[in-house]
Amino acid sequence: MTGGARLTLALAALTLVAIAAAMLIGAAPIPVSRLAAALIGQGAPADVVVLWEIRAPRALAAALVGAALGASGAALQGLLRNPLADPGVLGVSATASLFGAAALYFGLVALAPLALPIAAIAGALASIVLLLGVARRAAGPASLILAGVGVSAFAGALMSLLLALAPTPFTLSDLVNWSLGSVANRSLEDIAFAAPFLLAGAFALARAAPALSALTLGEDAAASLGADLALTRALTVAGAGLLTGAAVALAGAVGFVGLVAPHLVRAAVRHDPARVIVPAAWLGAAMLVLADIVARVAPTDTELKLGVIAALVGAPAFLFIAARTGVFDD
Amino acid sequence: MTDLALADVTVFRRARAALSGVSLSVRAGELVALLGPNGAGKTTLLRTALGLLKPDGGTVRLAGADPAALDARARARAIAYLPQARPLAWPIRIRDLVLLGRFAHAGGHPGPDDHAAAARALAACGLDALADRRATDVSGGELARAHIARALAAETPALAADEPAAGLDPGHAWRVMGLLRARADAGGAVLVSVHDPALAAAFADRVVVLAGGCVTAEGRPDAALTPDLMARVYGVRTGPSRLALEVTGLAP
Repeated sequence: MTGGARLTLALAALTLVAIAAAMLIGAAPIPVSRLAAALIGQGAPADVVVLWEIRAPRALAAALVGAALGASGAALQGLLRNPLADPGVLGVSATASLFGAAALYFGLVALAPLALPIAAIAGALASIVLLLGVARRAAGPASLILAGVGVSAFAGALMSLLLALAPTPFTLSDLVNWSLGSVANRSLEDIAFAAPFLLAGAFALARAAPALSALTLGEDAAASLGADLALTRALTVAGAGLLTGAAVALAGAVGFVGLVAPHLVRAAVRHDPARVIVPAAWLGAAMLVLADIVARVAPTDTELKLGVIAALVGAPAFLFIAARTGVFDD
Repeated sequence: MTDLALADVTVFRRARAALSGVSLSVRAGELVALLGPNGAGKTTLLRTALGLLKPDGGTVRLAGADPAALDARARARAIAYLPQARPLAWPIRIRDLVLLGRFAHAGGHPGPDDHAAAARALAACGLDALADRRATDVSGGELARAHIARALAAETPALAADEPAAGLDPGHAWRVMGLLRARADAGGAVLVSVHDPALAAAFADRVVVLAGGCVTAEGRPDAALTPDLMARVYGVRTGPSRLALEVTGLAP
């Protein structure tokens, strides 16, 4: 078995352990004996509800969001040949959450729940296409990040405008949740709405992945090696857009997972951008499930937002990776 | 037979003719050197020969087919290309870099044949000892050899290289050109752009000199590369070397 396959197995196991832990740990104190019964659907109905209808969907949502963001980050990094390309850093998540929030604000989601993931995906795709246009004209890793700063700022400003115009406090708290990122109160139904888009995105990235290895040598060499660049670009944009959009629909904007997860697994797959994607997805899943446990058990007055914890860990990591990439040397 | 042939090729770039009416052929077993000043159209010619650029006039034939009409992987199995700019996005190992040369055969999942071809190319380029080093941890000359090995690993009938010797010390430049010469001697059709006329004279069967997008001279190096041509094309005087240190081969 190769190093990459062993790593993937280990990270998948870690994710499953983290999900199990997320189901067993929580605010409602349930003794171990009752937990065991509730896990297999026996025992007090209230325990079963807590485990299977509150904690399990929440943990599953965190895992799916983490996997989607980890895979999106890894694929965007391969396409753009930039280790700092992350849906959060580039403003893709912010644009997706802006579009999602607009769909909420204008009542589209009340009409049809699918409007939420579709709007978020449209936002993600729009921002990735815009960034790709910038990346193809500009040289150096820093210019892409600057473009991301611009996209983030603009999406953030429009989001503030929406918040200022929010008609009722209820919408306001919805929108705040949205921009900070959280998987609290997610149901299996929410997950079911995101699932087809997540699957389609994963499929697109699987098709795009091999050509990302060839892109290591630059576009001309990759094309001469037999990689179909136009198709690879389209598949990667579609895959990352679907995954990030669906993740934002589930949890709002959670940053830095797509940056940190690929970075941590890259050396283990010998820096092959095609083989980073799968282990980065599993690591992203495990990271967000564990971060959400912290969000739930941290002794704070109001529950910590998942996106806040991700940023607390991720933002220093971003600075570290940026310094190593030489962005500050330009 | 002619493995690579351009007939009367014209390419416009930014409303300007980058190539006008260029004809050129490379037969199997032959190394053709492409000379000409910066901006003469050498890279445009190579990219057109590969099918990466579609000519606005004339025809390109790669083993009898139009490379721009070929499927990308079929084309990559017919001709390998070493671009002038050789960026490396990730610090991959030399072995994995060379294995990328097999992309068109393996489609991202290299099998035993691909590993064997990569091992042959590594050995041919004297890179066995460096195979597990990161590409970012070797010298510029060693990395240039690794890129040559990547192109050789595809084991294509034709090979095009854009200034493979640029920026290398004389020893590495000669080694790199020697590797390309060996591929031609083994039956490959090799088209190489070079700046150093001495390298062209030492390694090429024929030279094609481009100036302003047109072929201005062509033939055996000793016949085509005259003092008059050097003055006309590059604007330099040539004569007996002051140092008498022209490189004539690798020391044993």
